Amino acid sequence: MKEKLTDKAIVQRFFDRDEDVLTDVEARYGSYLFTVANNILQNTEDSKECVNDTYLSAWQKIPPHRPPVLLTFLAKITRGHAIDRWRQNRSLKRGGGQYVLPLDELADIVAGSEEITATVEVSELAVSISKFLAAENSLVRQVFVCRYFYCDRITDIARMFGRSEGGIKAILHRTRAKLREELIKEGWFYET
Amino acid sequence: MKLNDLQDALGQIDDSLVTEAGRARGKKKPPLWHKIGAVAAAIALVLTSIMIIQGTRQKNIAGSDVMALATPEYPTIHKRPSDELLYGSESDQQAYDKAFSLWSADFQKQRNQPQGYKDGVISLTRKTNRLLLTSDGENRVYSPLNIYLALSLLAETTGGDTREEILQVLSVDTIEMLRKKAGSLWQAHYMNDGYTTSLLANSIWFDNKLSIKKETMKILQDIYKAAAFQGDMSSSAMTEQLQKWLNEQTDNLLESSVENEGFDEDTLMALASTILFRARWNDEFNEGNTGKSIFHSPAGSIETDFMSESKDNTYYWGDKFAAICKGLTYSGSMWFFLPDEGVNVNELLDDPQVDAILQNCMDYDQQKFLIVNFKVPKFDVMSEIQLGQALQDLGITKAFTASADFSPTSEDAGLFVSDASHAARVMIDENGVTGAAYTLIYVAACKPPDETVDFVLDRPFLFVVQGHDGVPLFVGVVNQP
Repeated sequence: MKEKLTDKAIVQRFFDRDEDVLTDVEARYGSYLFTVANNILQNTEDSKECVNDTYLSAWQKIPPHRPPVLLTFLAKITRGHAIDRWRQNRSLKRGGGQYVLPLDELADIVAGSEEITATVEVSELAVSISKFLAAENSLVRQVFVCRYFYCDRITDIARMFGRSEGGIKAILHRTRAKLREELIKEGWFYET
Repeated sequence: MKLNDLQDALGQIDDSLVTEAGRARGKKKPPLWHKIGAVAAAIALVLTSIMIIQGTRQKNIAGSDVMALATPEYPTIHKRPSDELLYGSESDQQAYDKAFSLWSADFQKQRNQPQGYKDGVISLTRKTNRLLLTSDGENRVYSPLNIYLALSLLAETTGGDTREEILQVLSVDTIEMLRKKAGSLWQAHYMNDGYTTSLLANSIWFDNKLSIKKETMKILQDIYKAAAFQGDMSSSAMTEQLQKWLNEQTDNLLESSVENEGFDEDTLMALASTILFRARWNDEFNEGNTGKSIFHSPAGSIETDFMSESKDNTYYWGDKFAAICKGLTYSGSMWFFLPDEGVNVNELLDDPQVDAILQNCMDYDQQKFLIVNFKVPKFDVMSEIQLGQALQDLGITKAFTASADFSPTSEDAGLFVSDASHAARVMIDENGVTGAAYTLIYVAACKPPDETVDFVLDRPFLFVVQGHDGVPLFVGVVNQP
């Protein structure tokens, strides 16, 4: 029987500094990570580079980190690299500014707050958002994360959850408004 | 706060949220959740049931960090308006009528089912009582309805001779007929109107390696309102999710059994079915009348709390037992069968007179309406039953072999049922809200009783909780209250 290619075994190979593990990670998760990057960058070359940067980052972080779900760990790294690159491109007017990213929709959550709070502890803000999402029902939670973590298209999310595009937009709109209220309530910023 | 902060924070949200959504996305990304191929595979069948008489809390299915393939949509049932609205200090006839009519429409829709839909469960109960309840002095309890619905899930996921054997045990000729009956049973016994809580839930669990057929998934979702979850079944996360689901559906009342449930590396699929039932006595016991008394268990005498009442009731008797029935508000009744002195309670498990009373007590000859001095111990009985052998004794054998046919679920070869367990618990006590409807009807229809009889359950006895339609929801033997 073929040995099972489990996340646990893969992570152990990172710990054993077995460089071949990256080939297996590429085979197992490469295409998925590419879609994470490409959803943000909309550019094949840039996305491929992001995925490669992800492998390098993973190699540097494991050990000591031992991720419980490898794909989630990798996807978070990929998203971070892709957003950095997207911001870079946008400032250089290279591609990034030519389409509206789902992440731009988040502007209505923080509308009017940008000048008020100087610095924000991002990890603490992430905890607040997680807490907020955890209290929502699973559909809302997943739709929100698909749109604003994975930057999936509305059409794809609608197909994924068997809903109309209008229905998905309504969920997102409601959830953004609710999240804004929650963040205001928690004192992240003040209503202007 | 800047927009960038929010965008970055979303990149750092809790792993479980990213994983959950990532798995939902995986449904349209076959390269991620690729099929590894059929390996030696096992299917676990988990059946759990719970009954509480009284109580008000309810639980809903909570979110899962395992990929949810299907989330069931349960019927919406309006709350039955409280009598307070009709007779209380702030009575409002119009509001009551409106609320009652909304509730009544939902109630009728659930309860009105085609004739014959319950025959299979009743027939299964006759076959399983002796198999599952015979004991050497321990408490035993199980839920026939729960087992019927779980076996229906198993029938849906199997094919060929494997399915035929299950259909035979469920007393139906075709899978289409089973769908009609199981669907009706589900409808008839799903109720959450503020008076009766009867929550049925089903779920199916798959390993990532298993390729699943969508058609069967759809049937499980539509007919059986089954939730579906997929993940790495060898992971502790998946076992934790199963336990969480079981505990949520059973309001944590079977925690000690649930903690023993879980998947191992060979498990590729599991079917789970639960029932959570709460009802109130039509006439509650007066707590002031509860007192210590002796129960003669096979292990010796036990001093325990007995509830008591002295009320007019119908008293039934057979060659080996006496019986009475106590009504549950809008949701059925509970039967108590006391074997005559010297008769082992196990002898009642397939007694035709017990069966006759349960099927149609009105036509049963040996009954009399009189004052019953009723004493019953407060009890909380729980039992875990390894169902595997019992199912095979019933005739479901192929599902347990390497040649089992699970083709409706997956083309992956080598699937078979590796284990089946059932856990159930029934508790009774004095509390509850008195409903007048049933009692009043009986009293009005009969002459005042002029005799009395003592009905004291101070030795092992059999009980049956029947749904509103006579379907046995729970059957048990109390040896040690």
